[in-house]
Amino acid sequence: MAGMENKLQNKLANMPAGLRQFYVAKLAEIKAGIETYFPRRMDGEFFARVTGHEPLFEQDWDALSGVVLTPTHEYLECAGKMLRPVLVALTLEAYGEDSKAFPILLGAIEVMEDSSIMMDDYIDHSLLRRGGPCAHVRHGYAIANVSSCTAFSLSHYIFTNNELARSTPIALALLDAVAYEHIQMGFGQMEELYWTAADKNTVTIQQYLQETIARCAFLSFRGPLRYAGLIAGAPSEDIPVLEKLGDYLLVGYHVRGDNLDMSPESADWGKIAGEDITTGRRTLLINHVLERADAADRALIETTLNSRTRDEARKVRVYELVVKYGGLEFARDLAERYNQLAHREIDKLHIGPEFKAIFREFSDFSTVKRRM
Amino acid sequence: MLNILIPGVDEGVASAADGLRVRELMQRERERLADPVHLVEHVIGSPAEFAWDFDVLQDGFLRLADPYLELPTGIGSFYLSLLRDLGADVPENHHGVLILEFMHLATRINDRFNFADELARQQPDLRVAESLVQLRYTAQFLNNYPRYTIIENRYGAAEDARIRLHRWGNNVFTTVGMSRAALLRWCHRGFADVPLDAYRQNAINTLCEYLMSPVCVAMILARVEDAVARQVRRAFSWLELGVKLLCEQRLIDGDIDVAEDSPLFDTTMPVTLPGYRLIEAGRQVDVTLEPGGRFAPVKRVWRDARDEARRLRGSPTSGLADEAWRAIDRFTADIAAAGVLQDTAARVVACLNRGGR
Repeated sequence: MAGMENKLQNKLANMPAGLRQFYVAKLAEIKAGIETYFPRRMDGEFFARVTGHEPLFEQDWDALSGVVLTPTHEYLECAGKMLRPVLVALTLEAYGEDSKAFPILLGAIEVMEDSSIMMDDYIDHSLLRRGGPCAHVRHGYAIANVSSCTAFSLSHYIFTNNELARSTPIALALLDAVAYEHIQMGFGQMEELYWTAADKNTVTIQQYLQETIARCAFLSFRGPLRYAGLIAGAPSEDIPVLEKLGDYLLVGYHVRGDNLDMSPESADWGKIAGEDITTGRRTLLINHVLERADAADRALIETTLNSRTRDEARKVRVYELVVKYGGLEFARDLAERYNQLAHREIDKLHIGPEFKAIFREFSDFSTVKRRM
Repeated sequence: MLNILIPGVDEGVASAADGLRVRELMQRERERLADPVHLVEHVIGSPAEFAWDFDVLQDGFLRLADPYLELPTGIGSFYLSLLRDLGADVPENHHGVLILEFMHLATRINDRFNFADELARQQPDLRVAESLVQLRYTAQFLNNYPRYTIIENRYGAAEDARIRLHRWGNNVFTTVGMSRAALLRWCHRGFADVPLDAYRQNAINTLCEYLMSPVCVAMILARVEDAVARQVRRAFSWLELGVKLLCEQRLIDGDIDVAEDSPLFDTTMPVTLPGYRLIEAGRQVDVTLEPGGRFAPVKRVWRDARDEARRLRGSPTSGLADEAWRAIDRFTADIAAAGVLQDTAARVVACLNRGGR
């Protein structure tokens, strides 16, 4: 109990007051939504719901539950920040809906997130997630892949089955949006993996930011903002604003995360520091330094990244070079710039001032202030 | 690939013209996959303030995916023959070939990853794992790529039909995932204590993308009414069971031979693995780990299952073939009751019958 309380306090650290109040109020709704939406044990009814099949025979529910559902539940139990469902709740209420009427939407968004990050973990060959072993460490790569793919796919049944009973045009708009985000996600992921595999050291900042948006926007934060806006009946002119807001929030959020990976500031940071160096990932910080470093320093960074080392001393040397070439300040300034761009989009939304204030606090927190 | 499941399907159910049409569509789409203008205008959109890196297309995508793209699946041809039988063979509906073909191509690549011996180790080599992950993500893009045809409504379809297409794509991907989930668990445990009913249903789930998926996409675009579509789906479930069991019998008899170094091999394992015979006889597969191994490799389990099933050929009569034909007879009866796809059903059964009943 004390551990869970500490974890919550860590999440709330540096969270502005208005957002904190909204956030804490929504946690129970989100958790209830997850339990309703994503069972711990599969049965015939759930199987039919998520596959559209009426089975002819009884299935091995132990196997299906254990492989498809359990790994995502293990991640859900070590709950993350749950910023995405909070953002969805905020958007719903900003446009006049009561988020309590949409528990499965809040739950679905978090299930999508937690099933998908299993893939991120084996892509990055991470060892830990939120203080616990990653799914591919616990269950092996094959089960992690099958589990993640299948759970992520089925977690969209809220949209594919139109469980929220939206009109046909809205139901179709949601599915078209999901399809578009997933197409972009696939392309962005291919870019990132290609740069790593090819040890490509000529990635521009513009390419990096576009790849980040493509790869992550499906859930951070463009996708959820768009879905919530459509569901809540936001004015049509607000939908592209919500999408742009999502892009700016993502850039700031992600850049902040890169900074934290390089120099973790929270004792509860669940991933091993400097993982991006181990995986040879060409992050924003690395690209920034490679553009500016002299030949010797550049060679050292490239050699270290290419070696896929876990050697802490070598990783520290790269970190020192990031500091030497102003990488952390660059990332901080960039995150702040995108925070301001997000504020500009928030001002355009046709929502009440009290909601604009919370959106601004969300932006400040996710891009600049958060410690994890 | 579909020829492995239903021998002679490319000529006996589909036609040479169907095969040519599929090749034409896939060749055109392969060219589009390499075209940044097409990708920006129709698929991934403009980067607005930022920039895409199209260097990824050749070396980070097509070079990896081409060995899988180049081998025909047979699914697209089967789909075109279904459209014809439903009276919906118009050019707009041919875009469904892309959804079906690309989804299966993604499965081929995912199976390469899921069944990789290299990843069944305690400590997979980081560079090897990295290359397999990179390959696996070409599948991610391939699977989602053709959904642009639904977003742009290349089908000229009504809104509800487009919703159903989206839904069906998601559902079949989930179903195939379920089939792999059960298979992995059973392989890791040497097929100990697998209920035969669960195995039967998994056989149906495994063949979903080969048979059920094309007929469902065809029925959506042909606007077949829900009650009839439901009957057809039930009928095709029986067909999938029958076809899977016959496939297992052919493997046991030595009539299926896919080279282990073929890009097709990984994805043939789920459809040919003779689990029915093992379960029926109460046999298991040895899952002793190799040095440094964490799981018994799926390829080894498949080989051992095949060899054990072959050793059982002289033992008391197996119900495998009988059950397969009972399922196919159920398919025939249910299709007759549905009142559609009679011609397809007759042709499929004729192909299956060529191997002898």
